[in-house]
Amino acid sequence: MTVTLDHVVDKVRTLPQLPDVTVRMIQVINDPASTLTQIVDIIRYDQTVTAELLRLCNSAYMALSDPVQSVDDAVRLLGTATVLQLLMSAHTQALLTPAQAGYGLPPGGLWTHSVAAALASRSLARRVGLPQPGVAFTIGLLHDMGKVVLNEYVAAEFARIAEHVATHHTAFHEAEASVLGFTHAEVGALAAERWKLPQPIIDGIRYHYAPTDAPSPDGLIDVAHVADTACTLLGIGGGDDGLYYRADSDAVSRLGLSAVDIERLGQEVVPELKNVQRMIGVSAA
Amino acid sequence: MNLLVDIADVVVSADPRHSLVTGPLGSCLAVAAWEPQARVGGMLHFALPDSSLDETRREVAPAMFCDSGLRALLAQMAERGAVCERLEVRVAGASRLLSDEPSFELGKRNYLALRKQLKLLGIPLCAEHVGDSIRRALRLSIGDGQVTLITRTGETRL
Repeated sequence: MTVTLDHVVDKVRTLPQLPDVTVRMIQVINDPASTLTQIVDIIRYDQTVTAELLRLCNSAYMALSDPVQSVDDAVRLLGTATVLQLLMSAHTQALLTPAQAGYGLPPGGLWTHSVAAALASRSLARRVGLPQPGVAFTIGLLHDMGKVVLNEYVAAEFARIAEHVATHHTAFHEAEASVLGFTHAEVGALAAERWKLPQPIIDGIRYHYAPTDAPSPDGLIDVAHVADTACTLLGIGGGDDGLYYRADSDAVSRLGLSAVDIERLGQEVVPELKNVQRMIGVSAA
Repeated sequence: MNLLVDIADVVVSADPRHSLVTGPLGSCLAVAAWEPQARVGGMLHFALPDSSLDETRREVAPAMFCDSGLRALLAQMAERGAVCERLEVRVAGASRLLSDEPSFELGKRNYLALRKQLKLLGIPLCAEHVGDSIRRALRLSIGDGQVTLITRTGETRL
């Protein structure tokens, strides 16, 4: 089975849409000229998001002595970055939580992996001094959304894809391209284009398996690659594609990372992921 | 009833209705320990080889690491009456990526750390299923001490 571009576009149309307010958040976070006030205002003037934020902050897990009663309270307590990331993690649940049987992912598996990759991306971006850790977080959160589109095609062709991996010693996404005509990274980038997400996010999704194939070296793409690979390595939200992927040594080298840095990333992300899961009220997948 | 042994967790039970089960292991290792006389079982799902990486984390989340995680597993099993000399230990995990990028060879480092710690503790290894790039998980049934390897293609006794 070869997947055509028309198939992909049709399928993208049927995806659960990111809420408009989430797309606006992504666009403002991506704009270096935006201010924290602008970002907070997006939340403040959207009643549904404000209510959701207050619910998360007042969850049993937070166990606060005084209830959070306003967006300003939440920002003061958690910081703007955490508030935004918490909301974006919650807003991608409809898209990323359903089981993706083609990839052997149970309900919550893809979302768990995506949030872990987002947290790892933000951490790495800060570590290597990239100016936009919020953009890195967003790329991490959305990097594998192409799996939602390709899921049914992978389900139909899993045996051929697995055979291609075994016979040709290729990575899983390369076998997807050979058998289906597209990788889930390419398809995810197409979906991001249709949603008019900023170009750095589209590029981060498209090249997260092959950062050296990007038109020019890009710290955000390198970060997305290393963060995703580290979370895959740790088995976080892992599926039947297993660890049939490669770490790009050039990207690791460009970021100046060592084995100890990867271990530190793991020991940082695991407890942060558990915190987000508890705040949003989901169990481990 | 299945009790999830999440990454960086240790779970111990003497309830024969319980099964302890991990999620996907990746480069992590699951250590399933069964004490046949006390009929106590425990499982550790550790992510990193050595707690010297972060002493603070070792205190709050000992099961993150091989060395402190094993100590936590053995201590919790001993509290339930398990005797270390009678433990039957089986392990699975330590998967690897396709590439040989050294900074990502965490599975290998985890496995070597585990063998070293088990040797130091004088605990023999009954069975293992490690390496490769496949998805795998592990389950320990407290009712009979049976350890089951779970992969995409099915379940096998380890």
